[in-house]
Amino acid sequence: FLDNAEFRPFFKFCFEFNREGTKRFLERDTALALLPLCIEDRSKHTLNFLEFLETKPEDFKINRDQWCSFLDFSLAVGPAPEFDGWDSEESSWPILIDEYVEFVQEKLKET
Amino acid sequence: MACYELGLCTFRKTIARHEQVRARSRKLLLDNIRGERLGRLIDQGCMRCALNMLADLGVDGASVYEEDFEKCFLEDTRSFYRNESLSFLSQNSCPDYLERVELRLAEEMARVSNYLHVSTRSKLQLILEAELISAHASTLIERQDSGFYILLTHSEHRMRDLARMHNLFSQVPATLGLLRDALYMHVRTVGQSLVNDESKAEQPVEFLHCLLNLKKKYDGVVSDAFNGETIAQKRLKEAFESFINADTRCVSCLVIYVDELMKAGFKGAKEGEVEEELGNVLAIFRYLQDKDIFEALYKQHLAKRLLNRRSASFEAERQMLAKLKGECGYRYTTKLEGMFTDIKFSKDATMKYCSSSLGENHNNKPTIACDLDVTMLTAGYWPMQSLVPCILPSCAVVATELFKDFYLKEHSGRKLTWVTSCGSAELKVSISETARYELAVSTYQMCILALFNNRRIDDVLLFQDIARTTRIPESELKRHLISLCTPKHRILKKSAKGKSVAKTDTFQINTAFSPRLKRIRVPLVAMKEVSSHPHHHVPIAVEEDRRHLCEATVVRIMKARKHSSHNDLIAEVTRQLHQRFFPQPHFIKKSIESLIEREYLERCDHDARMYTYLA
Repeated sequence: FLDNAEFRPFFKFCFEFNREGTKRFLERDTALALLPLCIEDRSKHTLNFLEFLETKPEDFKINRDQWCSFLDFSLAVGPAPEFDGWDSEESSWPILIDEYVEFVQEKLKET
Repeated sequence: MACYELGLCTFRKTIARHEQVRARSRKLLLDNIRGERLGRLIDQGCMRCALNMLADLGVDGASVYEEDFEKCFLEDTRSFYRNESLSFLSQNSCPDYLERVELRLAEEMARVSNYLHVSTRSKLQLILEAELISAHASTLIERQDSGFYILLTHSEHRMRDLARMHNLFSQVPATLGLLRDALYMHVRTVGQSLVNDESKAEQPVEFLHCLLNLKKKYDGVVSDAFNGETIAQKRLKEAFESFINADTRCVSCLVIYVDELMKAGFKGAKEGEVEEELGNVLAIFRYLQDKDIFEALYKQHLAKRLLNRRSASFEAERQMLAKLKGECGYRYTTKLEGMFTDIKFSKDATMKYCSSSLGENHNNKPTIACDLDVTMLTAGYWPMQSLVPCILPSCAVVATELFKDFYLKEHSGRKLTWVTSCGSAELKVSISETARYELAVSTYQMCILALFNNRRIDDVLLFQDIARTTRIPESELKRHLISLCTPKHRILKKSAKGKSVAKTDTFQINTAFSPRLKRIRVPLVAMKEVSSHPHHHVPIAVEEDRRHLCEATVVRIMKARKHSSHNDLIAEVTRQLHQRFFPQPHFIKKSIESLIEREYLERCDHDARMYTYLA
């Protein structure tokens, strides 16, 4: 489903539609509500990512690059705990994604 | 088969390999060798003949020398040296052992020339190297009483031993690698303990001296013991880089070291001395990773030296700049050179101003203009932060306004702002017939003291009033006030006791102040540095600079390439910037993301690892 060529523009559109005016980002809470709506459990990372976002402060903002990268990341990298396809040394993903992976890995270490 | 060969085969079969001959003769041969190794004199001629005979018998596909002698000889040799080396090493020091190894090696090679067959040479060599050197390489390096590390520590007296060790280990490339690693580890450890030495933390100059001595010592080891080989030089360089860059304190120590040289060390120094010292400084500078932090700190210290006229030799200052330029390119030093130009220009301008005002004043008396010594700073070059100037006392205002008018007549369109946070003044104090003296004070102190003019002698001023009238920033005001109330220079009396100034304090002239000297320089209390200096403290200005530089570099590269993979981009940015500072991949990523957000770049649709330049 995620692979569907029409999904990508739709996902991007979700971001654009919910931006406020000329601002180039989404508020944290908006993203928290929006992500389950538009991608749901089609991505194996959604639940974990939402949990990660909740650790961010209230005024945290997510930009277009980070948002779209979440989709690419879901397509390219397997679910926790292995995260197949994610290379910590040469990751070209946005730093937010790197932080997300580390967050999940830390969480798993503790349990 | 030829007759001669037939004869040899027959001899071989019937005599040399006779069951009562073969083993016995082999045993005798080996016993002889063993005896000679233990110091006995043997008949070498006889040995030679016997072994040649065995070699000659190796016709028709048979290898008599190898099978009947060499195989056992090599095994014998191996076990002999295995035992000897173990026992000798356990009872003697490492240098003594190595000396012995040298002897044994020479002896065995002589044995080959004297009576062994030439084909044995390389096989013998391999065994010797394995048993005498390789097998004990790590012991020789690490042994606590006399191993390589100890020899390095006392390298001044142990150079011959070190050279011998290098010589022997060179014959076995694997062990040579161990030796070079050990050199690296040792220098790194010694360097780290120097850097972590708290007692040296307060003494930058002494720290630098120790560092330079360290460098001299191990440069000597590499040149004398390691024959100056390039790999050892490289390892040494890596070792120095590793511990020097572990702590940014080294950068500031180097800056302070140069500062001291420029202020005092170079006084009356000959040209050769200056060249040598600066050469040393540059050698350490080359190891620095954070050359941009060095530049920022050097600029601050240079500014102080130039403004306070503390440079012992302009020639030396110029030489240092030239060296930095040679090392880092002209862009590194343009601002520094600009500072020198400003100083020179200021001297000329001040002289012009003074003589022109003398011309206007027909009394031929020194005018107020000549009381003012002005230095003009081009804003971009100097490290001063542009603060709002304080309110100057009226006498100073007259002088400064006159100068400003004169200057702007020639350079209209320029903007002049007085840097009141710097500068000094000479005050003539006359409180009474007896209390007359001169004070050399800072600009702020002048402002404070001038407030007491035209008042009753016992008038009291509130801190708040002083702050309001002079508009000196609060923390600076406290510092300059404290300096006027110290026990040694109690020019003012503070209402409350104690070392610090509270906002509620009041101040009064101390009429009891009677200095021994007629002219006193009032020192400023040092600012309490935030002593929580972490090991990797990067000044904020430098951090910002790095961000700008990194982004500009990314843009420049992407503009040229149009597309680039993530890894290629990181590699190229690192390549372009690392001479100035080392950009961590994480740092570069932040720049990339910032540029994506500002739509300079974007990720490729089909490949998230590629970036495209957006025109």
